[in-house]
Amino acid sequence: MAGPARRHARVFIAVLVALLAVLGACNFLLDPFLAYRVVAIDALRPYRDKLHSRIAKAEILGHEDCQVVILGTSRAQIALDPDHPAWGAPACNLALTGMGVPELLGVLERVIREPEVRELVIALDIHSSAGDAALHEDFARSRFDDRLQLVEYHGGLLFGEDATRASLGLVSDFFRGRVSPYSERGFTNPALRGRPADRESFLWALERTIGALRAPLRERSGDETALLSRLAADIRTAQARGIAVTLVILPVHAIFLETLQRFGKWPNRERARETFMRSLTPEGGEPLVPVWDFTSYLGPAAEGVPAAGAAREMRWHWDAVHVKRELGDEVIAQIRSAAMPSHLSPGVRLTLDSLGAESERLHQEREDYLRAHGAELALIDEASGDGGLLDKDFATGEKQP
Amino acid sequence: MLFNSYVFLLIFLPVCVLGFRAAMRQGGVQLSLSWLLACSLFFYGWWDPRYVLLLLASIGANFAAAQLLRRASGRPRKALLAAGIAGNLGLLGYFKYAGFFARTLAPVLGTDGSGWDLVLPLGISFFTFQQIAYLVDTSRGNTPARGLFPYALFITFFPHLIAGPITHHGELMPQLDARTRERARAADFSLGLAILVVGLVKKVILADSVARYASPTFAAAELGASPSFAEGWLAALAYTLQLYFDFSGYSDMAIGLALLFGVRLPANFDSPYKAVSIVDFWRRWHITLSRFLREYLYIPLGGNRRGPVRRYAYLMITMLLGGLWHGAGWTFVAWGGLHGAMLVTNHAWRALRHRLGVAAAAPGSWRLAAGRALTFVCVVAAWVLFRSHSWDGATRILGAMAGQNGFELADSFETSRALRLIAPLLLVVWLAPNTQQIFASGKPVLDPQPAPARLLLWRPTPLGASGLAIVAVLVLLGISSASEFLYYQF
Repeated sequence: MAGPARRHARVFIAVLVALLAVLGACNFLLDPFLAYRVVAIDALRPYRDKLHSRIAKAEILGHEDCQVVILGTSRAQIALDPDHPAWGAPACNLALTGMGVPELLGVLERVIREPEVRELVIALDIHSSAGDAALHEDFARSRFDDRLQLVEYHGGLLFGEDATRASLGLVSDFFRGRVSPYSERGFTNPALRGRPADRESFLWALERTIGALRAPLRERSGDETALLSRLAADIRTAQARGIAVTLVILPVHAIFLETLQRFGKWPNRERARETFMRSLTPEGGEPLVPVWDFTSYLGPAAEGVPAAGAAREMRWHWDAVHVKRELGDEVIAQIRSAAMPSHLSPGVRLTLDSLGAESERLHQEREDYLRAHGAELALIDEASGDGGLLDKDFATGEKQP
Repeated sequence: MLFNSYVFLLIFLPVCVLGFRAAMRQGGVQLSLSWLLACSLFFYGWWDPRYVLLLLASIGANFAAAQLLRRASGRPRKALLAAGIAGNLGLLGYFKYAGFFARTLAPVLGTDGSGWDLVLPLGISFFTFQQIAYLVDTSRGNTPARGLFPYALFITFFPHLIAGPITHHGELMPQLDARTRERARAADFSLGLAILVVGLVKKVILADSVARYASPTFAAAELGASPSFAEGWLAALAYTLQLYFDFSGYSDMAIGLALLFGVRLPANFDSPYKAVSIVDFWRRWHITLSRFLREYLYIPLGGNRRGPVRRYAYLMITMLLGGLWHGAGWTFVAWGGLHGAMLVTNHAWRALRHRLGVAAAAPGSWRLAAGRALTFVCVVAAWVLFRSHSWDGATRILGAMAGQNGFELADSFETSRALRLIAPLLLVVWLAPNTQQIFASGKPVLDPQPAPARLLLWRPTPLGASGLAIVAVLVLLGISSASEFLYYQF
């Protein structure tokens, strides 16, 4: 090569290789998604803020001993503690924020191929009929997706913007002492970030729920019946591989149930529940797996919402749709038959035949609730006003740009 | 394999370049070109190995047809050429247009039109055109006899295989034939690296950034939403910029990659949004496609030799088919038709001015500015058709741009954010020199060479190389969320 051109090419390649080596080494060592786990930097453990991401959760499945796997949405991610002693085996919470049925199927089909998995607990968001939620865009960038190209995946983890931002964020949080609410087994504990369970949080979640219920152009990614049938087929496959499966409908606040009623979505919930039970129940038989329903208008579900400006926080709920770990612990105790004092109404084992009676029970509880707490329903009007949706992180309560 | 992927940039390309140079040192030109052919086939097969067979079959059949054409004459030659062209178009039509025609004819045939949407082999629109051109020129006796190897490499050469530039055999085959290949210029490698990085910046940083302001509005319009005046214009402008930076970025990358192997490709863009008329626009936008359509469709139809009326009819036919080439959909046909109508109007206006004797020798700066503004607005409006999946979606956006929903200039956070990106990018496409001008000192493309930029003229310096390497790292950072090139779908 001629002098200047040769020098140009050499300098370019040398600088490029050096910068990439530094960048790749930093992301490899800091490992914000815990994808490599080659160097354990214990000092950074409490500050890892990306452990709730799809990438990290898929890596948890690959690296941790996950004999019990919890699947579901943010409700399960926040409520069901994998360290609860009642599990009786190493558990991982692989619930994902905003996960709909199509994504649940993707994760489930990946999980049941893991040889160490012995038990699956699937928390269904039957209330919001999540069958129409599309795949989260990060799903395709995680190992949950079978079509993932490994070179692109590792290129992104070593040289990509998201990984680099996550590494910088990890270092920044370390120096600022900002503890992460996410555990290495996939659980989210908002208390670690000091997130208040107050009226504002409650209203925020209610606003978001109402926004989702109102959205006219919500993307449908498939026929709900077909999706639920596929879920039933996957559950059969899991059973055939010796994996015990339990399905749970987690408790929610009564005001959320009333919001479904107010926006005319209750029949959807009833229909989705019935469709699902039909897909799970062989002709004239019992459901393939136990289905626990903790929906109720009584007990913690009727917990009072603090008044505006009150210092008191809610005991059982983070907001209208997320229950705290304390209530999640009671759910775990009930489905594992563990001895534990319970504030929760006993969960119900659903069957296709009991659906009518369950609907009637809820109807009766609702009548009682409305008589005693009817005034609190003004919160729905407050949340459905024109205040606009606050786009906040559910775990930290921080507003997003 | 996308040019803007880690597997291409960090594995395939270094291995391919190092292997090429090693083969050149150890075995000479023929071995290095063989290596290049192997790399090109691997590149194509990465997407789906089965389609390599289709590509090779297409190359073999066309090469054989060309050999027969050389020996034939008179009627057999014409018949052979017609069969060759029909075969190529048949292949393209089967994969690209079967679904389109099945859906269009479904009401007539009483079917539901489903079952014909096939997977489109990557680059089929491009390599089909190149092979048709080769057959046509061979039948005219305009192609020197060369072996199968340079022909196969001419078609499969990976920098241009998937989305062009559509190269002419006369330009590329001598550079890929061991007997006629010139020694690679020493400076080509560093020049190629620099142009490759510029192309990546255009795609990964500019096109993908501005795309987020186009896609939501177009998607909402498809679903029935009526955008506001500001939303309609911002979406159309954002797509105008996205398409330019995406496709010209791809073309830059192709030119840069080819230079790494000492090969020069033709320029594909020449600052198209600086065009002062639609005629001028088509001399600057996707230049190699315009050239193909002119030489192998418009002129054989009759060109301008049979009077103005027929000339305009040929122009319309050419542009309608050009539109259909871009995609199997009526919005693409409408886009081509609209450009055809604008070209006809432009030519008729010129003819009228000429007849009236008012055609100035050199238009003044105000006329040029007015022509540039009018051309740009027409091009932006036409891109709405190009981008929309349905006629309803397109009319909603165009209606919003025309003030159908009022002239509200929404002062939202999102609008101002979009403007902060779109406004400087518009200045870039209107005022800044293009890649060929910036790198003119290295003669990066085949003739004609563009006039060098007065500012930003590239020189290979160590400081510049360091800066370029930093930019390359920034691009690699952005690749984790990179998207496909728009022209891959064509």
